[in-house]
Amino acid sequence: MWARVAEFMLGCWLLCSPFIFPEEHRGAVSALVDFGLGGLVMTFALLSYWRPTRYAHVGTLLLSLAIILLARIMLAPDIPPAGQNFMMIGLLLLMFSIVPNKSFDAPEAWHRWLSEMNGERPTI
Amino acid sequence: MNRPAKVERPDRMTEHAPVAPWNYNPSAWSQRVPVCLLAFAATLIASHLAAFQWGLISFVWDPLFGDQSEMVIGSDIAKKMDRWVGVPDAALGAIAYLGDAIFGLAGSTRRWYERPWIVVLFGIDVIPLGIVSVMLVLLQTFVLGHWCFLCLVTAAISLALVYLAYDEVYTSLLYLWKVWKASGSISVTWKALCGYPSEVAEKVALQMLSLPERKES
Repeated sequence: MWARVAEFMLGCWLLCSPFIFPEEHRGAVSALVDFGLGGLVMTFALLSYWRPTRYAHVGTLLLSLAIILLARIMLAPDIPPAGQNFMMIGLLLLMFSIVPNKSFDAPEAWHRWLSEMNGERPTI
Repeated sequence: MNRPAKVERPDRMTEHAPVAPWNYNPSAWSQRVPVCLLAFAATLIASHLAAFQWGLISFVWDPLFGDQSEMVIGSDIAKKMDRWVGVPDAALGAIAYLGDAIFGLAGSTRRWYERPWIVVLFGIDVIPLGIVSVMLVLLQTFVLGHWCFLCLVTAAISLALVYLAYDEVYTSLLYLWKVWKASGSISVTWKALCGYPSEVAEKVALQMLSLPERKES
């Protein structure tokens, strides 16, 4: 779950961003956007810990694509520092959100398959 | 489900078994940790260059070529790339190197068949990055006529990463190719790529694993 921890920390960074990038470095970006995105990223990361919503990090994947594209398209040609911050955080989130939960273990499908084939009760 | 006869299956005992055509496991930590460490070092170097391009620092460390580094990463070509991409090219490089480290870390020591998609993504990140680094070095030499020590170091790291990572990428692609040949089905191959097991996928993985002899209990 280390990737979810990294996503949560990046969500915290987004929440802090309005205080790091002053008004003149924000262009037309409202601080509410940072708060909203940061909150969503943290929520998705936390939801991924709960088994019924374990794929919530896919939401972060989609959100990161939206962050990168919207910052690149809507804030061009001179992207302000806050916009570049969005692009960098979006790229980082894109990479982390691809990493599965419990990535050091075998995937559940392989666990289940091997258990069934060996006549054991699946452990997951 | 029809249960096939009890066969030797991959488990914890076979975690470090060599994988054909190599005499080692290309997904073992001993193979992947050096890749992650090198990629992380390159991330730090690229971040230093990005900090200069962002104007956060006023100098670039260069023990060999003096201020030529600043001419290279502050060149018109670099500024054009910055405007085109939206962020400085060194920052993009730092992200790509960090991606190498992240995709190098993700997955178990049997990820070459359990999660081939991660290995393929890892390969997509590592191999084009090596090519881009070499192109940038050629660009700075023949177009700008200046040298950048840290850019050369990152280019060397990129090539080292390609060398260190290609065996695992090759193994995963070979596994997928064998699954495709054995099944003749796009669906089975796609599922194998996505990390879903099947009888064919397991059979191919077992064929590629050099399982140790086991003592009967």
